[in-house]
Amino acid sequence: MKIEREMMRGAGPVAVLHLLQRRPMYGYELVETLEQRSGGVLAMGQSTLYPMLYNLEGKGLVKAEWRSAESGRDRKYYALTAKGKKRLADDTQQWRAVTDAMTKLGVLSRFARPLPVSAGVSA
Amino acid sequence: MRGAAIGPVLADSGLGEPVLAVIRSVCAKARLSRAEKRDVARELVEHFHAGIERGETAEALIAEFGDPHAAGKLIARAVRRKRGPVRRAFMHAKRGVYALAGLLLVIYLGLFARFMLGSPSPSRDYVSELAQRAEAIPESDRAWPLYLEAARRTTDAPPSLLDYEHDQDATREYAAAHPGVLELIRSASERPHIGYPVRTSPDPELARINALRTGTVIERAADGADPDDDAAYNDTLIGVLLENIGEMRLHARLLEADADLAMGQGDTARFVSDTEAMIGIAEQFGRARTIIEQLVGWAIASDASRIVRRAIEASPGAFDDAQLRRLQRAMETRDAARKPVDLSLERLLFEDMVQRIYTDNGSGNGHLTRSGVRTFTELMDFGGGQGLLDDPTLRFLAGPASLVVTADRAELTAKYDEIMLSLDAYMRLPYWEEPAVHPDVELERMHTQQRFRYPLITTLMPALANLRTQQAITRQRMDGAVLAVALERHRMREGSYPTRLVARELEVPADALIDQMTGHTLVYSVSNDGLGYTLYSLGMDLDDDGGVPMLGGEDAVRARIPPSYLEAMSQHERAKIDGDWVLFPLPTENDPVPE
Repeated sequence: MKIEREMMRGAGPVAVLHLLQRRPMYGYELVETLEQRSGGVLAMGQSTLYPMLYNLEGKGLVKAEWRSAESGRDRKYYALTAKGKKRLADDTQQWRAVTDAMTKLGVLSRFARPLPVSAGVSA
Repeated sequence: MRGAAIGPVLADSGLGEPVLAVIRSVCAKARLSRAEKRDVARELVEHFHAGIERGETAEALIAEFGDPHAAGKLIARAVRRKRGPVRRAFMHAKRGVYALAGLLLVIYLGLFARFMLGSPSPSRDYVSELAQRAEAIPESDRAWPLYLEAARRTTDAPPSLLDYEHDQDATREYAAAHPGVLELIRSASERPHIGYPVRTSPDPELARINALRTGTVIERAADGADPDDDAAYNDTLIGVLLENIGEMRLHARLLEADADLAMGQGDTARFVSDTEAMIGIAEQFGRARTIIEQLVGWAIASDASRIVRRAIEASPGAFDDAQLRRLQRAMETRDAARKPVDLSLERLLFEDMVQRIYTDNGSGNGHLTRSGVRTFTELMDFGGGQGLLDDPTLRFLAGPASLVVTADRAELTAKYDEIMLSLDAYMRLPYWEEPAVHPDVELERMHTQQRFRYPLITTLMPALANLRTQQAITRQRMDGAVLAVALERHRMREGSYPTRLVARELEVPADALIDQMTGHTLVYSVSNDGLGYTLYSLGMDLDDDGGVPMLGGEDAVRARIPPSYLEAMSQHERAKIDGDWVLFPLPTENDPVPE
C-alpha cells in the first residue's frame, strides 16, 4: 500500500521518535527497523529519513552523537531528548484521538481488511 | 572548495566510486559550511557501510537512497534549520556580505568597462589659437626679435649673471662693457608686446645661446631630438614654454646695473632711460596672460621703484624736473600692478586639460577615462606626491572608482566657473578689504576634503591670496616711488617739502596716496629741520609705530594681518611683524628696531 506524502509527513516523525524511546539508533538502523516493524508501510528512503532526523534535531527532539559501533567504525546515533519524549507523548495522544474518531466514524473497524506485508510508502 | 571540505572523508571511506558520487552529489548542494558538509558526508558514508555490512549491494543501496539532488536539497534545508540563532544570523550576514560583494563587483565591472572604453577627444587646439593670436601682433610691436638679438650678443655673459643671486659687481662690469646691448634692450622695452613665439618644445636658438654661455654641449638623441623635449606636452597649453622669461630677467638686471652705474657717473638721463626700460619690460610681462609672467613683471617693477627711491634719497637735486616727470609718468601710467590680474589664460589652461582628460558627450558632459587619467598624471608631472596615481597598477584598479569619486565633466566645469567668479571678485576687491568668504580658505578646504572630487581644480588653481598680496605690495612700492618723485619735484619747485600729502598739489593720482594695508592715506611726516621726510604704510600689523621700520625692511613685508588674526598670534609672532613699512627713506641697518 502506498501512503500519501502528507500522511507520511505526520506519521514519520512520530514513528521515528517512538523507535528512539527505547534506545539510541543510527540512520540505517532506523530505516531498516521502520520498514520491518511497520510491515513496509512506513518504509522511507534515506533521502527522506536524514532530512527528517536533522529537522527533529533542529527542534531539539532528538540529539545526535558520534559513537564507536561494534564494527569499530564511528556512527552517528540519535537519542530522544526530554523534549522529544514530551512531544512523543503529545503526538501519541493525538494519534489515539484521531484513531478513535476514525473508528467511531466507521472509517476504521476491527473488521477492516489487514494491510498486505508488501505495501510500500510513497516518499 | 566543496571537494576540499569532504575530500578526506570520502578518501578514507573505502567505498566504491558510484557510492562516493552519490555522496558528493548530495553534499554538492550549497549553502552549508565545510563542517556541516563534512558531518553529512560522514553520516552517509556510515549509512552505506551499514547497508553493505547487512549484505546489501552498493547498487541496491544507491537505488534505495533516492534522488541525490533532491536529497541534497532536503538535507541542506534541514541542516540549516537545525542551526542555532547566532549561527543563522551569522550565515545570513555572510550571505548578505556575499550578495553585496557581488553587487559591488557588478557595479565595478560596469565602471571598469566605462573607464577603459572611453577616450578623450580634444576638439579645440588652444595652442594654435594662442599662436595665431601671437602671430597677429605686427612685427614692429614685437619686442622679442630685439631681445633675441640682445641675447645673441651676450653669449659671453658669465653664468653667474643668469642666477637669481647674481654678483652685482660682475653685472655692473658686464653692463658697462656692453652699451650696445643695453641700447637694444631699451628699444625692445618700448614695444608694447613681448611677441615670443608660442611653442611647446625647447627653443633651439636659446638653447644654443645658453650652451655658449655655460660652455656646455647640447646633447641630442640619435634621431636628433632634444632630450629635454617631452612629447607628452606637445600641443598642450600647459606645455607652452616661456623661455623668454629668463632672458628678459637678465636684461632687466643689466638695466638695473647700468642705472646704478649711470647714477655713479652723474648721468641721470641714462638712469631715467634705464628705469623707463625696466618699467617697460614689467609692462610687457603685465600684458602677457600667464600668472608667472605677471609675477615676473611685478618683481621688475618693484626693483625699478627701489632704485628710483634710492637715487632720489642719495642724490637729491640730481634730476631736473623733466627727468623727474618722466620717472613719475612711467610709474603712474605704465604700472603693471595697477590692473586686475588677468586669469583668462588660466581658464584656457583648465579647459584644455579638461578636454584631454574627460570624454565629450557633445553636450558639455563626459567622464574620466584610463587614457585621460594617464594624461593627467603625465602632464602634472606628479613625481612622488600623489599616492595612488603614482603606481600604474593601482591607477588601473582605482581608475574605475574615480568615476564615482571624481566629479564628471559638467560638475567639474560648473565648480570651476563658480570658483573663478568668486576669485575674480576677490582679485578686484581693494587689498585692504577682507572678503566675507576667503577664496583661499575655500580652496584649502577643497584641497583637503575634496581633493579627489575636483583634482584638476585643486591641482591647477594658483595661490591667489599670495598673488593678490604680491600685487598690492608691488603697487605700494610703485606708489612710494611716485610720491618720492613728486615730493622731490615739490621741493625743487617750492624750496621745501609740503606739510601734508595732497594729491592735487603733488600732481599725482589720488589713489597713489592710499596705504594698501589700511585703505587710509599713507603716513607722511617732515623732519624738524625740514630737510627730509618719512613716508610709510602701517605695515602688516596695521598699527602705527611712528615710522619705525619693521625688521627686514621692505623685503620682509608679506600679507596684511587682519585684527582678528593678530589677536590669535603669539607675542613672538607679533614681534616679527611689528613696525611700519617705510617707503621713504628706504630703511638701513642703522634704523631703530621696533619695540
